[in-house]
Amino acid sequence: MIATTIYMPRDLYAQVGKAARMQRQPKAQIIRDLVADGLTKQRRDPDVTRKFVEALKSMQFRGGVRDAAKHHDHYTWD
Amino acid sequence: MTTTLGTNALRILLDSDALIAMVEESDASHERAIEIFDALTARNALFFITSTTVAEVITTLQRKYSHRSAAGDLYERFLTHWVEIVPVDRDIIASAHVYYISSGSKQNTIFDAINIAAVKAHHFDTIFSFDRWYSRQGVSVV
Repeated sequence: MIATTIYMPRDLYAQVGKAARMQRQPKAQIIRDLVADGLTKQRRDPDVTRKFVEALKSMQFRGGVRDAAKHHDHYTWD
Repeated sequence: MTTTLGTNALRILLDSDALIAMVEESDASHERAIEIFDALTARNALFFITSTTVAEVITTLQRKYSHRSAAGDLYERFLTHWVEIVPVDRDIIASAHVYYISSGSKQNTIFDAINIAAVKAHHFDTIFSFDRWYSRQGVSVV
């Protein structure tokens, strides 16, 4: 983990402390969980996975090699 | 399943062989790759890929198959944010060292070792790969 320092309003810090007491978790854990949840919600497009897989399916090509995945290092570098 | 991101979604790190099997119709694992990607889609899994795997896959498509346009297409897909790119920093490289050393095989490269380090550092639920070496290193494999 990386140690970091953040500034937050006093009342927000008090709420974090209250949540930590209620959940019997360290304040750092409460902050980590909330930041992670927030970032996930911000980033998450419900269709993101389907779009990526559909994109992969749309790019099918035929190189004629049956062990391309297994031996891709060999095919790339040798 | 609870993850470090606090969601119930499966968080999957994609390996290069899974991506190559998916886009190469001739590959022996192609149909299996489609099945797995479809199953993961049905579960609304979140996909992640290390920056080194991005470079590895693009290079493979470009060099071996001379599919520069295909490589370019895939490159663009990685830029859409449909898949999250995991930065490979000094900590990941340092953590990968032990796996790289323990490999002892020409088959398993620094790219694979970096993937293991990324799985452990970011607490991914599993890695999607056909390479059994990952499971021997204690990493859950799709």
